[in-house]
Amino acid sequence: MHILTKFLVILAAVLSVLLSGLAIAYTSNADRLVTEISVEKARASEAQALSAASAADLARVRESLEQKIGALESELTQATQSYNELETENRRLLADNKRLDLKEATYEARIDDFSAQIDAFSKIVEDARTDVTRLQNEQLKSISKEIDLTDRINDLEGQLEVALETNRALQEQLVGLQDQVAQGGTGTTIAARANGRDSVLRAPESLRARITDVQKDVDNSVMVSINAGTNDLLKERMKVNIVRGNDWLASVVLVRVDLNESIGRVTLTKATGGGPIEIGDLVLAADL
Amino acid sequence: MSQMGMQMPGRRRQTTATPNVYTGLLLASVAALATAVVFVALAGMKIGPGGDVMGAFKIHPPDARLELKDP
Repeated sequence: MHILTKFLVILAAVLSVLLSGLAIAYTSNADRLVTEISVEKARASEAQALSAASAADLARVRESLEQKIGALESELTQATQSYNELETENRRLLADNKRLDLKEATYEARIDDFSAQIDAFSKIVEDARTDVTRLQNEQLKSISKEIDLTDRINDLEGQLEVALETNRALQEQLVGLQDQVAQGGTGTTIAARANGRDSVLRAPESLRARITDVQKDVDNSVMVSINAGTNDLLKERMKVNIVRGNDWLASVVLVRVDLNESIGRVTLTKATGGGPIEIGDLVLAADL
Repeated sequence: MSQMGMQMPGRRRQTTATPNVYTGLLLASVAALATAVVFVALAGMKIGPGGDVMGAFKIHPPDARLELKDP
């Protein structure tokens, strides 16, 4: 056998073994691939079914989401409108705020001015109050002094009237004594006439008073109270008249005189047409 | 004895071997086998694990995930 033949035989054997190994591996791998392909096809079909279901769900979800998006867009539009309105309102309020700030500054300045004026007026008022207080004190002192002088004048007038009455009584007593001397009588009657109990005094011409009470005394005489007293220069035994309108009602002689109240006894009343004395009747000075 | 260069008497005359028709047939078969090996190796490289020449002789593990080289 030729060496080339031998070499080819060996080479063919080697190639045959190599080819057999490659074929075994190839067929095994091809079978595995076929199996995997079938599995993957099944998975792909399942995935497609699942994808279809998911697509349906996705479509529903998408539809609902689109509806929600539409609602949200409408809400967004409304919110945008509200935002614009609120922004406009905010700008307006800011402008108002600035205007109010300016007014506030103006008012604060005016308040400061008014405060300064109030302080100045307070000082003026305080000074005026001090002056008024001082003047009132001076006026009170003057009034007190005037009251003292008035009391002094009243006392002196009373003393003068008493002196005049005493003088008159003494003159009457003197006349009586002269008559007695001329007639040769005793002095008892003279003493009785000179005691001055029935004599009355003249009330001040400026007297204007009112009856405050009318009562009857134990001896059935009428007693009246009037709202005038020593402050009105009244004294006991002064004679006053009670009038109502233009009608004279009665004459009263004062028996008790206080500061602002006096009590008198009715000595003479109008015979007819006068009526009883009532509270509120006018009291005037009477001629003796 | 022949290895020692000794010529034994009475032996048949030695003839020279020459290529004959079988040699040609073997040559054709070797060429076909080589071509088949190349083609099968190329195809085995595509579906074998690893993607190289030796991957054509290997088998994918039964429990492992099937992985191929990107074409």
